[in-house]
Formats: sequence, structure tokens, C-alpha cells
Amino acid sequence: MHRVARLLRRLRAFALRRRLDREMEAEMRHHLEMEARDLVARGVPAADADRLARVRFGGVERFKEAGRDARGLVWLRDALRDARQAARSLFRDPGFAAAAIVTLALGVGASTAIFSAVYGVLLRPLPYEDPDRLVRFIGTTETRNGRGTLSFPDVLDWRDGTSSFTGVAAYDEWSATIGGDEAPERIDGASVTSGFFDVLGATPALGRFFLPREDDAGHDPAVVLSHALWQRRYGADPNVIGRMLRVGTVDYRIVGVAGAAFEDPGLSGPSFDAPALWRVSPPYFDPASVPRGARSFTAIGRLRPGIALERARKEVSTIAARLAAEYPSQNAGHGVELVPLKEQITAPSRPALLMLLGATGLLVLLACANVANLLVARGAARERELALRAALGAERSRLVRQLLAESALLAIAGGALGVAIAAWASPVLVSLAGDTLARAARVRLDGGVLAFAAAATMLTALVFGLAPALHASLVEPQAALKDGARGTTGGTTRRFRDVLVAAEVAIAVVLLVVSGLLLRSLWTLQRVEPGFTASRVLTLVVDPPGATYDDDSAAVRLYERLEARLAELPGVERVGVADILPMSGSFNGMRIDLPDRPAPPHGERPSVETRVVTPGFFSAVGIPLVRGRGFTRDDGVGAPEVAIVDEATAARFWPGDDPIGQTIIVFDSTRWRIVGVVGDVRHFALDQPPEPTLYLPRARAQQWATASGVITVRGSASPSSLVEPARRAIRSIDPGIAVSRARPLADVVGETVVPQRLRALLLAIFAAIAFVVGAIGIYGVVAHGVSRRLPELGIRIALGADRRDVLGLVMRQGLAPVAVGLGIGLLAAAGTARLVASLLFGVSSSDPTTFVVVVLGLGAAAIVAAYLPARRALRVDPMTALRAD
Amino acid sequence: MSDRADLLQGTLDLLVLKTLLFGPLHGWGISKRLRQLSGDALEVNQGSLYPALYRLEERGWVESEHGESPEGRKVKLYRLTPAGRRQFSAERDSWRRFSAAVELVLGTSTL
Repeated sequence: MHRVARLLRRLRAFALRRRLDREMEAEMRHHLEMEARDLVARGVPAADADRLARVRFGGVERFKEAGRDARGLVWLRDALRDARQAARSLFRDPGFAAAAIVTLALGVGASTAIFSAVYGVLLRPLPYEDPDRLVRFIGTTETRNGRGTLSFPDVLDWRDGTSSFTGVAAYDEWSATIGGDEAPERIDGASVTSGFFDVLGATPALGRFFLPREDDAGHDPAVVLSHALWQRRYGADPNVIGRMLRVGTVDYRIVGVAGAAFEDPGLSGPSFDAPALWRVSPPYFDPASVPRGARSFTAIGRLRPGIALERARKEVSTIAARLAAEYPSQNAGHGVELVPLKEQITAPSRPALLMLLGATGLLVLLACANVANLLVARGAARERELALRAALGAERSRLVRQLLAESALLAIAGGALGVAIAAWASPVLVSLAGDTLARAARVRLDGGVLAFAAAATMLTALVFGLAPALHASLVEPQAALKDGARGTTGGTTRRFRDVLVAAEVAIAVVLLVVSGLLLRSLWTLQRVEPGFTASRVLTLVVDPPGATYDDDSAAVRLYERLEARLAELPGVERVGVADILPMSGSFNGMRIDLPDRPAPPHGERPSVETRVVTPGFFSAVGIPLVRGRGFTRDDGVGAPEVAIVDEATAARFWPGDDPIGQTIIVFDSTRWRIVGVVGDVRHFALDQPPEPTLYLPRARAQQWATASGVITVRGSASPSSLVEPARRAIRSIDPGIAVSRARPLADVVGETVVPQRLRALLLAIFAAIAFVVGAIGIYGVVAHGVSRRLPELGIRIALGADRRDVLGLVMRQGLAPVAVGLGIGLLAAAGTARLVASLLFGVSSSDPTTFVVVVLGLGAAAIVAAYLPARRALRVDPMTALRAD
Repeated sequence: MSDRADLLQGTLDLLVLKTLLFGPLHGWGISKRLRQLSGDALEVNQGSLYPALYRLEERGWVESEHGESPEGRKVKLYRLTPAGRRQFSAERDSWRRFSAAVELVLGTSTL
């Protein structure tokens, strides 16, 4: 009760503060009058009475201040007053305010946009129950062809032979045409074991997920739709449950719809979109029908509560070792690794995102340094104002508080503008990153990100605001107010600004070096020969309706007709068909035997990438024939089995020998005779070396090719202008053929360097900002120094100093902190460059060219930035300089 | 200066309460009364009276009203509240205990 009454009195006093102030003034005036009258009555001369009354009263302003404080809610009143005063003071200097706010907005905006990506991708929890207990099984082999995929019987043995997991589920990505004849649509999906959603701990938005053992033989095929597919294809119709959907050639019952936030933990290769549906299609996962040697599966498991990852690892690898001994021909050399799911999903994006976060951190520091620099410069100009107020009785803490209030106001304005920039930049960033950023859909500005922006803003306000505020409050009133004095803080001000300039230069060096290294990497990468000519090539994926073309010869005839029809289109020069497109993210490693070579020990059977192509493929995409001959239309069923290898295969298996005429065995026992050698192709990405590859003719090897085909069309016209004519031509042959992913081959290649390009672009932007801001900082400090020293320089010139010496003096003083900054920056950049070494391609992290160019560039910019204001020293007229205040 | 005592921190509040025991006063009146009661022995900036008054008001021991000075001018008059009266007694007692204790120590013969 007592406290409430007291608070009410305080609030009342606060609300009535103006009236109370007036009353206080009246009261004190009354006091002084009465005192003076009293003194006169006691015989003091009237002339002295007023003065004596004031002396006995003490400092009126001081007691007014203390009186206001005594009324309570000091902080609220002070905050309001400080804010008002700060706003007034900033409005008086709009140029300064704009410069500071824009600098801060750039820093906060860039860091918030990057943080939104880091938060969405790396930090936001996966949308599963207890996601930290989820692990992924990754297959390991000595050769790269394992690529983490697993054998399904192995997965069952791990599931049934261990006690570390509450559940293990296997799945397999695939794509298919859905809808049959009615609105056929090509989608990506996943085949899953029935426990898939239970292991993840997800709940359906509609209907149900799969029942236990629903994937066993004898059950009907069933699908769960993704939320997106449900909305797109069914208009979010809740009655979709129980309806049938044709997938490929089989009808599936729709049993459920996944939640909107559900994320498939898929392999997330760049070309795979999120699955549109999940299916169980017995007996797809029947251990009897899946050979142990087929390694195309992925598996996830949920750790039992209280079980450490290490213990599960040990258990699983014990079983893997046993399996390798038990099935040497399929399992020798194959191991398994358990990785936390989150780590596995986010690992590819992690180094680049952390580097960008570090870079934006530097950018924020730079923004702080620059604004601090502006504030100090302004503080120096305001020395007299502050000194006057200190002399009039304002406490030091009050002055500091007012300067801090200005900083806070700047920070809030800069932060708000920065968040606006981030709101615009964050989606742009995500769309630039495209498919290459895992979990990109989770990137958005929300509470967590805004909290970061607020924290970053407040921190910058403190960092850039406190130092100059404390510094400015050290002003000695008497000295600063002395007529003609230029303040006493000149020396410390300059030293402080020198430190800031050195810091700005050092940060700029680091950002410039890293961005230079990334740009050189990108440059090198884009000049890598992929082994084919991507320009003027259109690619399309076609999926023939299964039933019509199940027969291999029918499929072969279809592709021959497609090729012929497309070749007739105007502007088309060459047409070919492959089963897998270069750089599409797909691969097909196959074990081979070489009958003429000594047999390797078990588990070391060599493997090569295998492609099934038509005769026109090589010339359509521009893979050069090096020796021998290409495929012809006669290399079909009944003709001798012939194959073509690339130079990497030839060099690996027949070094020094002629590969032409050699025999290679692949797909069980078929013996293929090599008739030609073509150039190497980078199948995976520009920064990955060419993989030894075996090409087989489609007319003979159709049975081992996927049903779908990648059509490549080289034309004299631009690829995108060919898309519609090509679609029409394909439809004219069979309207049931689904056509998808019609893209220029150059775009397919370009997508593999999107991450590198994006990183380089962002870093280049940051570095450019750092460069400009650093130069402005140098300019400001030198200009400030010159104007302070004008009289002194005038004296020097009047005493006969050479003007060039004076210029040198000014320049040396301005450039000294630059040199220090360059030195520190080089050391820091050398360390930082090593941290980003994994993001570089074809350039060493200590690349001397980059370092030298950065130092020369920054040095030159610094000299110009110092020279422009220093020229004033040359033009000093001694008389004017000496006469000036 | 040497014959005047510096005001001990916090005792100003006690003295102000004491001056108001006899009835409402305006600011200068309190100041004058203080000097009369102490025989001009207490050295204090007269201005420091006002923050002390506002503090006492904020705590609810003193309340103010608009009134007239003996000279007929509109002034702010301060009066003691019942809570202020209780506070005065409590502070006076604790002051007496304190000064008695100090006196005891000072009165003891030195070694």
C-alpha cells in the first residue's frame, strides 16, 4: 500500500513536472528575495544583499537539478529529455546523421540478412520430434562410388541386430510421372519403409502415415502427399484421403498428407526437389527381392533415449564388419558411419555461411569504427558546447548520457533501416542461392532474427557510442573555453581517430583479401573445361508412359523417332539422347571386370561411371572423339557389343596400351569391345575431377538404362527458343510422354557454380563497402588534422618551410595509421584466408598476387584519400592562418 | 568556519521535520527557523533545503499546499503528515542513541 502510494506520487510528479518546475523556480526566487530583504534588515548594504543571498543559497541550477531528481522517476524523465535533446542535436547536423545512419543500416542490414540464412539453415531445429536423437547411416567405401548409399539387407541387419535404436527406416529417392493420362506431371518422390514417419516423429496434417508392416508383400501400394502437392494438385481438398493416384503405371491409394512444415531429410542433391510424395509399394522393400550388392538406399535411425552416439556407432560397425566377412563379394570394403542428421543436412552449407557471418561481423565492426570516427570528429567540433554546459554545472555523467542518447538514437534509426534492408535482401539472397542452400525454405525474418538485429544494433550503439562519449566528457572546461583555445583533447582525439582508421584499414584488408581469393577461385573455376560445349544446347527430360514402352525394342524405336523428329525442327543441328545429363547431380557408378587383366582381390573391383547414349549424343553436347569411332545406328541388338571409353578410363586401365580392341565386362557377363575413345567429362561439378566413364550404345544397352531419357538438342538458334517447338514435336509422337526440366545445358553447368558465385559476389560487395568506408575515414582524419593545425602550418610556412615539406608532414601523419592498419590487416588476412581454404579452388590461401594487389590498391586509395585534404596545407596563406581564431 | 558544524549526511531531513512540528512553513521560513534553532551554528547551503523537501514529500512525510506568506505573497507551504510525525519520532530516537554512543566513546579517557 505504502509503495503504491509512493509510486502514484512519483507518477503524479512526473506528469506535473513542468508545473512543479515552475513552482520550484518561484519558490527559490521567493527564498532569495526574502533572504536579501532579511540581510538588508540586518544592516547589509542593499547593493551586496542580492549577491550575498545567492552565495548563501549555493548554486541555483545545481539545486534545481537535485530537486528534480528528488521527485523520483529520474531515469524516465532523463531518458525523455535526453532523447529529445539528441533528436534536436542530430537534426541540426543532418549530413552527419545521414552518414552515420546509412553506415549503420548497411552493417545491420547485411548482418541480419546473412544471419537469417545462418539461423534458418544451421540453427533452427529440424521440425521433428526430439531431432537431436536422429542419425543418418552413411555408407563408406574406399572408392567414391559408394557415395554414402546403402544396401537394404545391410540396413535390416543393423536394425535387427542392434539395441541402440528405437527405429530405423530406409528410403530411396526416385522420380515418376503421376496422374496417368489425366494431367501427367513429373514429380520427385521417395520410396520409404513403413516406419519412416514414425522414426522422424512427424504427425500428418490429414489422414494417416503408413501402418507398421504396410510395406510387406501382400499389402496395397499407398502414398502420402506432400503439403505442397496436395495444395497444388488437389486445391487442398480434404476429401482426397482414400482416392487413387496413378504413379507410373500403378494405382496408389492416398492415405495421408504431410504437414506444411515437414522437411524431408532427403539426400538433397542439388537437382532433387523436395519429394512431392512418399510411397510404400510392396514388395519394393522385400529383403528377398533386393540384392545385397545394390547400394542405392539411404537410412535414418532414432537413438534410444540415453544411448550415446558413440555406443550406437560401435554396435553398427561391429555388425558391418561381420557382414563384410560373411558376404565378401558384396560387402568387402564397405563400412558405415553414423552422423547426426542435422549435421549431415547442414554440413555442405556450413563453411560458406560461417564465412559470410564472419565477414558481416567485420562489416558491422567497420560500421562501428566509422560511426565512432564521425562521432569523435563531431565531438571535437562540439568541444566548446560541452565545455560550456560542464561549466554551467552539468554533471559529467549527464554529458556522457546525452552523447550516448545520440548514439542510441542513431543506432535505432540505423537498425530500423537495416532491418528493412534485410527484409528486402534476405529473399533475394535465398533466390540467388537457389537449390544449393539446404533448408532454404526455412529462411525468413522472424522473432529470432529480429532479436539478433536488435542485439546487434544495441551492441553497435554501445561500442561506437561509449568510447567517444567518455572521451568527449573529459573536456576541461576552463581550457576549452579560453579565448582562441582549440580545446585540450586535440592530442587524444587524434590518437583515438588514428586507432579507428588503423582498425578500418585492417578490416578492409581482411575483407578485400578474402573476396579477392574467392573471385580468383570463381574466375579459375569458370575457365575449367567441362569436357563438352554447353552453349547452344537445350536439354529436356522425357518420360515415356511405361506400359507402351516396357519392351526394350519399343523404347529404342521411340527414342529413334524422337531424335529424327527433333532433328527436323528448323534451327536444330544435332540431337542425342543420354540416360544421365552431365552436372545434373545424378551418377551411376558400376563395377567392371577386365578379363585381360589379372583379377584384383575381393572388394577392390574397379568401377566406372556408366552412361547409355545414342550415336548423336557426343556431337550434340560436343564431347570430342579422340580415337577410333563413335556409335552408329548399327550398334544394336544382334550386332557385336561395342563400347566407348574416355581418356581417363584408358589411362587408368590400359596405361601406355591402345584401349581400342580391349574388352570390358559390365552388367553381369556382357563383354563389350572398346571401339573408340572420347574426351574426359566433368560429370559432377566444375571443381570435381573427371571420373573414368564407360559409354554404351542405347540401341544395345536399353535394358540397363533408365526408362526416362535426357534429350540434348544442339541448334543454331538460342536453346530457350527451341523449348516450345521441341515440346510440340514430342507431343506429336505420343501425348502421354511427360516432358520436364527443359533447360539450356549452360544453365545446368552454371548452377554448379552458384554457391561460389554467390559467395564471391557477397564478399565483393562487403569488400567494396569496406574499401570506400576506409578511404572516407582516412580522408576525414587528415582533413580534420589539417584544419586543426592550420595556424601551426602557417607559422612553419611563414618561417620559410618548403611547402612540399609541409605537405609531406601532413601526409606522413595521416598515413602512419594506414601503414599500421595494413600491417595488422595482412597478418589477420593471412590467418583468415587459411580458415576459408576449403572454399577456394585453384588458388592458394596465401596467393601472393591477391595480397600484393590488395596492399597496392588500398595503399594507393589511402594516398589519394590523404592527399585530397592535405592539399589545403599547400595553399595555406600564412597571414590568414595566423589571424584565424 | 571553525565554529560552525558541517551538516552530517541525512540529518537535514530530521531537522526539517523538526521545524515543521510547530506548523506549516514556506521554504525560506524553514531555512530561517533552522538557523534560529541552531543559533547559526550549522553550515549548510540554503539551496540544499529544497531537494530535501521534495524528497520528504516524495516519501509521504511532508505535504505541500498553496498558501500565503505573512507578507501576503502566494507561496508553497509545507506541513507534516501523520506519517512524517511518526518518522520524526523514530529518527529523533535513533539520533539520540547514536549521539549518546558517540559521546560515550569520546568521553572515555584516552590512553
